[in-house]
Amino acid sequence: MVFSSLIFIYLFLAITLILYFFAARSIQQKNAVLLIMSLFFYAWGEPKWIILMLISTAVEYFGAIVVDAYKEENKAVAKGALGISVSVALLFLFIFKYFDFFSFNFSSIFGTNLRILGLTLPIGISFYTFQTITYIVDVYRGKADVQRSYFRLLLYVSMFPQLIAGPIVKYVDVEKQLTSRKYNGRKAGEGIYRFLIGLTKKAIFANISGEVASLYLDGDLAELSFVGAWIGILSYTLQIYFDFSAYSDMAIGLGKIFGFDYPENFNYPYIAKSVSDFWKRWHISLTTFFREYLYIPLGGNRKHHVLNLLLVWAFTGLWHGASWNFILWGLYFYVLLVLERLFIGDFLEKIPAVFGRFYTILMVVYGWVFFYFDDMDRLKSFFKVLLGWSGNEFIGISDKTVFVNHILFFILAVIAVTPVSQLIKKYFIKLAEKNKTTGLLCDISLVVSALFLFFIDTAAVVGSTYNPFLYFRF
Amino acid sequence: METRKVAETISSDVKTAEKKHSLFQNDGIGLAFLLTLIVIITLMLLLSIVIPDKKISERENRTLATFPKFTFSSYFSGEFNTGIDDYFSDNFPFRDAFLNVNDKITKLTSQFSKGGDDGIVVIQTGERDLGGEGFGDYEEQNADTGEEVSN
Repeated sequence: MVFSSLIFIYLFLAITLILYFFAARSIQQKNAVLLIMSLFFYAWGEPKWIILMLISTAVEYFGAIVVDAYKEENKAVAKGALGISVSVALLFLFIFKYFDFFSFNFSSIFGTNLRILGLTLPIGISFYTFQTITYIVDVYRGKADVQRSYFRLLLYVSMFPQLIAGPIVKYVDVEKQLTSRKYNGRKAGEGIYRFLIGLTKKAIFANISGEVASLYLDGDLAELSFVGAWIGILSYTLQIYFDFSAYSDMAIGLGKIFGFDYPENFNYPYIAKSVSDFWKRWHISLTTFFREYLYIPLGGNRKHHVLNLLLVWAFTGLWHGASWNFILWGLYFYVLLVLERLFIGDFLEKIPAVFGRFYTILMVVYGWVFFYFDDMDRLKSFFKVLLGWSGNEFIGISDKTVFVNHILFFILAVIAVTPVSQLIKKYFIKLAEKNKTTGLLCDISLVVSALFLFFIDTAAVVGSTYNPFLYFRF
Repeated sequence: METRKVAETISSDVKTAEKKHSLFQNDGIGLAFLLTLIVIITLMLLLSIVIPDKKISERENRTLATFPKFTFSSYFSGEFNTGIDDYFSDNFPFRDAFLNVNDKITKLTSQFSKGGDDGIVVIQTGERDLGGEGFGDYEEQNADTGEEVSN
């Protein structure tokens, strides 16, 4: 069940909100509603492997109790329990996500015949595995208290707003909110508004840019023009940002409606002044996870720095999917980041920001080529067209039409990836805070605009189910 | 834990800063907003249960999804849930009216609607009323030349 579907908003969310706000009174009851609905939500898309999430959580639950009991007196036992629990979680992830990739490549290199399991990837496993790891590691580090209630830990792991597409919420960030949440109408309003912003990004912006991208990226690359390649990959650049940040917006918004504060996951990545700046703004919860739970434990920048970075970026790539193109994508950023640290970082800071921004977005766009094409031959062919080495025509017949037809959309989309909206928000809040009357008027205008957005979004979501039987497709 | 205390003070500072600059100023309006949302989606849910199902969509020239049969194998394969999803979408209240609104949005932001590889797009003509009953007529035109394509 995706957030931008009718069944999620008009069935699942309707029932959840009614139960949460009208049926449940105490925090225990509210948590029970959230837990049951979250498990239902998960089982909807993953009826079989929900068991894996329950087991994985149980392993970390018992592991953390042992870690907590021994971390003062007998560090070795605590460390052992930590190691076993984390290994089990990673083993599950490996078996379901990477085993076939591993055995296929191992067999083709060494000529052996390892079996292929053919398992489907359980939804959200990459996210919840990391979440459970933050829990047990932070218990070991003394940053988090051990959770004595399995169901409360399960609620943390399975909370439906962040379960399937992040952000990766660290246990310490929501530890207190699991037992008491400060709640008021302003937070509710802000949560709904945030959810609707995300829904708009997904249902309108991501979908339109996705249509344009697929028009160029999925076709015959031998026929693709230079201009077409650029329209295609730039549209994909828009799509992936809108899609992914939309999920985070919706997750953060939904969390707020129920009183949870999740960390921000995106901070206008496409205005970054360097590639390292980009990675402080893109999928922040993932880079934070790798920094705190892999890079720093490896020794950070104190010992074998370059090797640590290599591992972190190879894993970052691999996290996105069990395929060589994702590893290449991670290593590509590794190379850029090392280059920036060693050579061009200082230079980038000295030159006017516009050059740094141009360089960064260009590198990021090239990066999305690795990300998009999992077929190595198509990846190579596409790069040739994109760099003008293919001998294909410069501009195709329909390229101009497509571009002109979408010009209004592209302008809106480019504005939407910059922090213009933050600026407007700042002035809006300033106006709202002026006095009681402006505050009231601003609040009302927010509600009215939100309901309008909701109407438009619903139409767009209904439109995505528009499925005409086109008999003239010959 | 000294570091933990510091971290807590910082996060509570951030929280008070947020409170000072909240998007909404009045709790009452925020709650009214929440209530309105709940009422709207619940109403739509009730309508979708009450309104009798349509069997075909003239607009899309296809039969609409019916409520799927439950079996354990269809549940565990995910087929049942997909069926519910399709059924719910196909029988959503005012579906045709929403589709008309969506056409307008698409037209505003992009002229190039979903066409075939051969450059044929579907252009809708005729009166569109939001009642959902009066369907527009379709003309299939060649995107480049504007010539009508005969079926």
